[in-house]
Amino acid sequence: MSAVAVADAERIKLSTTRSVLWTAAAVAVLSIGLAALQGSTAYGAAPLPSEKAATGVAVFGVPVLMVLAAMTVTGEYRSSMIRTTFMATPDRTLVLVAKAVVAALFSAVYTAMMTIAAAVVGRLMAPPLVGANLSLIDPDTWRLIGAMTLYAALTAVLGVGVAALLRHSAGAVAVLLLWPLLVEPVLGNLPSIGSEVGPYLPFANVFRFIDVQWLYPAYAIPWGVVGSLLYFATVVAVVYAAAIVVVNRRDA
Amino acid sequence: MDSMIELAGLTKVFGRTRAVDDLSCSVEPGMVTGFLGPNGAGKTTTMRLILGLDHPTAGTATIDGRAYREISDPLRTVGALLDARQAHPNRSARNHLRWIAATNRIPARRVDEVLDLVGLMPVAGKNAGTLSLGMSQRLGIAAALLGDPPVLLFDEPVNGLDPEGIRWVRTLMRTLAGEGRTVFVSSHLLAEMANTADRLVVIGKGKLIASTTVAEFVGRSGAETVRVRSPELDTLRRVLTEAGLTAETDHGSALVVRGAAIEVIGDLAARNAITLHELSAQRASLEEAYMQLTDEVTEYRAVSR
Repeated sequence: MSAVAVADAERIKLSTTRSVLWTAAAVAVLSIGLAALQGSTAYGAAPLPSEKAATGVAVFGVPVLMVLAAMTVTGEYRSSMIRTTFMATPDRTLVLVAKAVVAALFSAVYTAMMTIAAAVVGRLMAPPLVGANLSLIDPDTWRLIGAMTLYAALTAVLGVGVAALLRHSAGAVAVLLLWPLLVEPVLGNLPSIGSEVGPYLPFANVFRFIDVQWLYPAYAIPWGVVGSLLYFATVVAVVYAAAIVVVNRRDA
Repeated sequence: MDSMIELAGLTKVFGRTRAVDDLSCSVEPGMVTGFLGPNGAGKTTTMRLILGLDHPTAGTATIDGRAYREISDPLRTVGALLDARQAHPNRSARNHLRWIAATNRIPARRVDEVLDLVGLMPVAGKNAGTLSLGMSQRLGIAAALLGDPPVLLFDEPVNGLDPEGIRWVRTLMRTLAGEGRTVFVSSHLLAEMANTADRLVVIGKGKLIASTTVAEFVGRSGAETVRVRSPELDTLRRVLTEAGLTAETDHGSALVVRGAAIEVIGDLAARNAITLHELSAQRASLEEAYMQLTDEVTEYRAVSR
């Protein structure tokens, strides 16, 4: 199957530049370090919920992996290597699918590992009572790990889509980071319209799904938690589909 | 092996510029076909259209009857060098070839074969960004040869190369054509093509000027002249003028006759018993012929005041 061959090539690309390895290592250190900090500075008798320990992974780790996914596309445009890619695989839809699949798998597996590590490290660093919930036999922890994995996979696809539309690293990174970290919190906190647009902000929805507290107010979202996941997935799908259409029409 | 490149009415319009304008020609296997034109004539765009990177405004470009995008595992049919710097700067030369091979299910051992072939084995582990221009060019050629393709396209392959590199590329192209492959090489340098190409496709401002052999191209330009030296220069000039030919004095002791076959002048001299000290065809240099043909279609010309 040529789809497998193309995905294999994308895997080789991802694993043969040092910047990817360095970025991945830095992300893990910072995300898990935050969990360690949260564990060690927690006090009182209330147990620390597992999603608190995962805040670093959700707010810092996954967005950086999303940028990394974007770089797998913009990096090729910058070095003109995209032409080599399209010469080897003229089916551009297949190229974008392979990129999304490889980036999503990498992000998902890596995020799952980071989330587990964050829970374990948080528990080790916390006083016994506080760390009681950070347990790998607690079903809530596994629900969190599953939700984080889905969140990471979807954002990786979003990264590939936005990058393919914009082609430039700076633009793609600006959109991918400023949107969830700045635009959505600002929109959501606007006095009059915040509560009206809030429920329709994609990252507010996905953060509701993973149940991690961030800068978003608690909106009255008209659909359930799974609905929030589907809403975010739909936004990702629309951006990604637009990218496929545009890349196929464009001269490389 | 019938691996012809065929262009039929190929047209590409960017905004108001017709980069490639109704281009029709065929490029045949077993020889080197030079693709000539001044800078900005549309050579690179034509190659990108053949490779399916750009969408034509009109017309078709096919290889062996198929559009590039319809060929499965295209690197096994067509190899191309467009731009030397077309690799990720922080990936090693070998890994760059590895992922390209993977896409078209080319066996991994082929990577080392082509690295050896282009002489990059000693730097195979070095990052592509640290390679010199000449080495990058070799890496690009290695990528083109990876699938052992019957059709090869090279866009300005000797640009920026040292004399040794130029000789290497020239020999390689001759060898590839000798193996029966279709070799299509673009250049804006005529002199280079004169030594390498069997046929020429010449374009200017996106339009086809000539598709012919190198010899024919020079002849067709009408720049062929005959130089004749004689102690009886005045008599000779009179005879030539009576025969309807234009002769110009060249450095006092010789005449230069334009647009006449060498036999005609020799016969005229013999019939009139004129002693000749020299009778030679002054083949126009390819460069001259090229300038003459592309003169009116050169887009950017230095204006001398």
